[in-house]
Amino acid sequence: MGEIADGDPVRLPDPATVFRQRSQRLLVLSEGHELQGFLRMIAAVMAAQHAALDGLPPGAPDDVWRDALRAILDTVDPALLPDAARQVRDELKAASPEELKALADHFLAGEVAAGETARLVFVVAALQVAWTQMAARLDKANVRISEQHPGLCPVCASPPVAGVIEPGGTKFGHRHLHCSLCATQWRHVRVRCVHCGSTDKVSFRQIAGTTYLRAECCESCRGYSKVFYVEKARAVEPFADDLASLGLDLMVGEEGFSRVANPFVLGDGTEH
Amino acid sequence: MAVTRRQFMRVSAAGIAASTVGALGFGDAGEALAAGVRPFKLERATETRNACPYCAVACGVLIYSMADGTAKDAKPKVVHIEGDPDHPVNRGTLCSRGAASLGYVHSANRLKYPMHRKPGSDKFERVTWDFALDRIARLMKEDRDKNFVARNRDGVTVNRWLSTGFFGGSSLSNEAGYLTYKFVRSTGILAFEDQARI
Repeated sequence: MGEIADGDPVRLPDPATVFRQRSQRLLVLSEGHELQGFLRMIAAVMAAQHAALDGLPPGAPDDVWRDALRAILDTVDPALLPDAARQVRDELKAASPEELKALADHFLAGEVAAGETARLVFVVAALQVAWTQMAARLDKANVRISEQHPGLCPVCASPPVAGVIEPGGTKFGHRHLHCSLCATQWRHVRVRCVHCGSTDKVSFRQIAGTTYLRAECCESCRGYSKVFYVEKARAVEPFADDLASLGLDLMVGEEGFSRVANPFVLGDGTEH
Repeated sequence: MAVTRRQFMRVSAAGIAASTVGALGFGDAGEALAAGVRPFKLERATETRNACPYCAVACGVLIYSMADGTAKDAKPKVVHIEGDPDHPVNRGTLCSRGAASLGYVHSANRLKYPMHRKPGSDKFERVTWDFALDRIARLMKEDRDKNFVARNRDGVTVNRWLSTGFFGGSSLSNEAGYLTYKFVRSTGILAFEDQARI
């Protein structure tokens, strides 16, 4: 029997490139964007993530994430931070370890308070660095996609930020979801709702004229997730491209569909 | 309580202003974004999983369709067909016939209705399904009445009908294949290719 061509079920992050690629891509996308100020600030945070990961001592995320946070707060380009963000940065620099642990716990457990979202940008950035370092050190042969929750990250059980489809036959054309925390990618069957697993009431929405990005909408659970088609735009970086395509979220939201938030755009929880 | 990284959130201009984005000092961002997308239309598209109709390998295909034109209830049009990368048999590939099946969907020569060429006629005419099914049933019955073999030369019961054969459809489901088999075998037909491989 010959070998059967198959795509990678799981791809672990490359710590040398993941945050730099995000930062560079987001900087390109921010040019002339309605959210230019916000996107350029997040790009600066991502650049600081890259530097922080480079110098991070190996260790469990719980042990090293505060090192990552310190590095990010010290190196993020202040010129790209608005006053509110600069104030948050200074608060975090002065915060006690207990306060920081509480913020991280709130985010990871999913119990975020309304006043915490600005501080969480830096906290989440640091958690991403620590978890990405951990994920990168795993042996992917030991990482199994969950049968009960195939839409959650097989490494850290976080929800994905978006999916990417690469072109071609046999080994490609699969959808890989990208983890919002540890940057792991894992395969998820196409035209299957990421949230509830339904396959029969799935349809797509795209802004007229754009073909590289669609929202995969599920009538069963009224949820959606973004799918990027690399065939139509080679440079896609799902985390950065998700932030830069919030306009599509607005339009899909108007049709009554909901998503799981990008961790850099946590809402206030009220119905609008 | 803010929307967390696990809960659903419906994105809106006011929601963005009240989210991390607004909290960082970009309070006008939601409205600016809404104004930016307002001129654009949201198109609806589908990717539908199906089996290639051509042969019994029954490769998985993804059929892409889009609503054509501007009307909200416009009929979707098939725009692209490709191999289903998630299908265990063909893993995203298709043979040249399957890869060209979009041409089959839109072909001017595609058979869409039952057609009948009367004995002695030189052209096909469109007929109703009722007519076609009645006609097929009538011809099958006449042929079976004439050629059915209940016992062979040695007097052994065989109940076979050798003068008619039957083709099933290659993209029949398991259940449709089962019913086809039951029906055909119950008539005594031996020359039978079910094609059910799904």
